[in-house]
Amino acid sequence: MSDEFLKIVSKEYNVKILWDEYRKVLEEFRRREEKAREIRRKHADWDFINKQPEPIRSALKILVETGDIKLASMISGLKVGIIDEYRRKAKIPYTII
Amino acid sequence: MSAVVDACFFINWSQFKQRDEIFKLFRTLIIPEIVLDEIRSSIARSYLYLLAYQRRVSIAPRVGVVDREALKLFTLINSSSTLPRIDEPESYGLALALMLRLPFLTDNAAPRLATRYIKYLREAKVYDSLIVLKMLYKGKELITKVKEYSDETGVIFSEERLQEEGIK
Repeated sequence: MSDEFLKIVSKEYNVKILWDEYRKVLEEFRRREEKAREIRRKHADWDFINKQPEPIRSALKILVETGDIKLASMISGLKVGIIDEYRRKAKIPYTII
Repeated sequence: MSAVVDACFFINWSQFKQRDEIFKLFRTLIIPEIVLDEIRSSIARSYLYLLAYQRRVSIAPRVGVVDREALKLFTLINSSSTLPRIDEPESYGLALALMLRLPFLTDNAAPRLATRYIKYLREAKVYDSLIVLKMLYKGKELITKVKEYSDETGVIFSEERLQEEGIK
């Protein structure tokens, strides 16, 4: 999915997107997320994560790599609240970027 | 003034020892009914019961007019291929806050970032826990409280986020 989709959706809803600001936000986000990923990888209890059954193990790995609990929830089929409980047990920090 | 609260913010904030200080800023916290199911941790649940008993929390029922706005926000924000996603309860909370002209408290970056590039959201007040801490504390006390908050909740603020708020 490219940003074409955002163009189509914003047109459909007649909503103005500030594209220069959007590109700035994207660039900032990519840079910050890279650092946040390193923090999550460093703090995570990998022994705990690797001992978990599926789909919990994969959900936690997605969370470490992306920081996106919603994505982990969608792919694993587990509720956000359940993944968050395991996130704490796995010592994966909640990174605010 | 009240504030609409999302699950991630409430769960994180409930672990902070000085959690009740938030009521210096907001008289009540409004939690959308759709968000309740996301609040599963025992600490957060206990805090929710306590606040309900103290009448410091109100539960907003799910209504069609907010749902329609929430669907629009959900679709718009999730149309970006790179930026973090927003889920249904969160988009409902953002829509409700927008309609009531109240702050929306969330630790998910998606709604806060969206206020920068979606023009009609520029008026929305979206606060994460760092902004709330900054509203509560000043100077050296703020630095101390940010550290305590991180230690007690497991939330780590990025260097850039701290710089943005003038804390580093």
